[in-house]
Amino acid sequence: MTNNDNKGIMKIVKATFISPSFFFVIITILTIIALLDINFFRIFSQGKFQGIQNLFTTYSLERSEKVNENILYALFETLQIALIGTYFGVIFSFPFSILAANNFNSKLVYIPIRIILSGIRTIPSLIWGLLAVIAFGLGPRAGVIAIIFYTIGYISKFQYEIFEGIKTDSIEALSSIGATKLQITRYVVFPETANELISQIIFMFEYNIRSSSIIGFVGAGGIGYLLSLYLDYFRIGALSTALIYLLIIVVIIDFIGSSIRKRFQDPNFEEINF
Amino acid sequence: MELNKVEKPNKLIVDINNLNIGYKNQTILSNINLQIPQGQCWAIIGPSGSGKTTLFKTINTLIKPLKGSLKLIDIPVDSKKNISRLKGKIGYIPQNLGLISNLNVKENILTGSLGRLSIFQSIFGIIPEDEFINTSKIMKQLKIDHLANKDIRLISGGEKRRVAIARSLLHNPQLLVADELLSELDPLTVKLVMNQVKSLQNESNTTIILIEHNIEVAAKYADVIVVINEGKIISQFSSTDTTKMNEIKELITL
Repeated sequence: MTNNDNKGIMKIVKATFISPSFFFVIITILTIIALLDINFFRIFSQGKFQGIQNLFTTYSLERSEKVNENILYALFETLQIALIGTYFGVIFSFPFSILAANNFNSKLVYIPIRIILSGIRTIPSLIWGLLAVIAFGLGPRAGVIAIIFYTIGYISKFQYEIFEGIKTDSIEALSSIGATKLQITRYVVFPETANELISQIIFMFEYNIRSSSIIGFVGAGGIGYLLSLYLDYFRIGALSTALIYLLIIVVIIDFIGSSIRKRFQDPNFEEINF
Repeated sequence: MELNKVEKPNKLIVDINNLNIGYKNQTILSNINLQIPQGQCWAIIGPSGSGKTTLFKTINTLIKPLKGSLKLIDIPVDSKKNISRLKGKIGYIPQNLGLISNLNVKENILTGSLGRLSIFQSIFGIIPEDEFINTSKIMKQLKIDHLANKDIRLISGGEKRRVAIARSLLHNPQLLVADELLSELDPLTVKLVMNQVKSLQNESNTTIILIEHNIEVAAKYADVIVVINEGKIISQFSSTDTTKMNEIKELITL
């Protein structure tokens, strides 16, 4: 081997670990520039911690029976919106995610689908809520429709990215057996990606609880309407109570989610120490 | 060739003539000729990167050949219609086995029956009774029946290979192609797996093609050995032909 050849291979070998670290440094520098640009560091220089202190001392939680009752009712509605929205959103996202994966389809199919999906994601959930209220009137029905659209946009993207990482081995083995595309989707693609799908669905449900508590601001039902009322009348105490309830729900969902997810972990993990 | 004269009464399962295989503008295998009669076990050996897996994928109709003729089980592989006629007649075990990680052993084997299920049955997972009977029979023959409900990630390498074999045998293929099925296995497990495969082969007269690294193993279980190097078949001989064997051994051992 000549010296020149060696240099070439040395360059490749050396670049392996350096380039990711290099990118990390560049991105850190960009972030610092952005922070300077928005005068972020002033909060440390002005010594004004009064605001933060006020936040915790001025207001106390409001826990009257009426407030509790209102919050629980609205919270229940929020959960309903999130559940229905996630359910249909996930179901409708399956065809989109399969059509958007570049390893299963030609460019003619997946590029338009991806444009539609990014279009859906461009619009924030609050605006989806507003659009749905305009189209279908006030109330939780509009909320459900907004959440469905929002969920399709996200779950489809998460899913097709995972589909693109799927290995060809099992697909090759089953296709020689004579399995059709539909069967391969049902018996290879979904089982192989089930772990990710389940954690995405749980994440999305959690996320949708938050979204459906926001879309109430524009009249699409749920706890958001209550939150906006409390904000308008500056009842920070009642608002805090509502947020604490929301926190409890999210924590519970997260707990349930992680126990479901555990069933799909590699069982070998229980036997190794690292 | 003398060998072909002896085996003449058998029909050809694989008939490859002057085949060139490759991707787009790169030829990987050139001028391949292979005639494999029914019921035999052939082993293909050769160094890494010599094109063995590419040849296998072509035999599985996963890659379209660039030039030449390819005939499998008396069906020429040239049109989409003919390729779909072949589906289900060939069992393919990929290099990494391609087992599905969230299905258990029994479910993985049952996916071998998908070719026979209707759309409705396969979507809702309604599997006919006789598929269960076949599955349990094959599992028993391959001695993996005690693993039926086990997680596929918790079984050993040899067991995984037997699961993959069971899956591809479930649809009763006329041709079984296995890519490096026996590598990474200890000699004892190789013996176990191969003896079971051979006895199943004798029962159903299946033709088997293996990719194998170890020439000793290939000689022991295969009827004919094909040596591929740099995209060409450099030698093809019966595994009982000791002089040829020694020649090749000298060629490949350091």
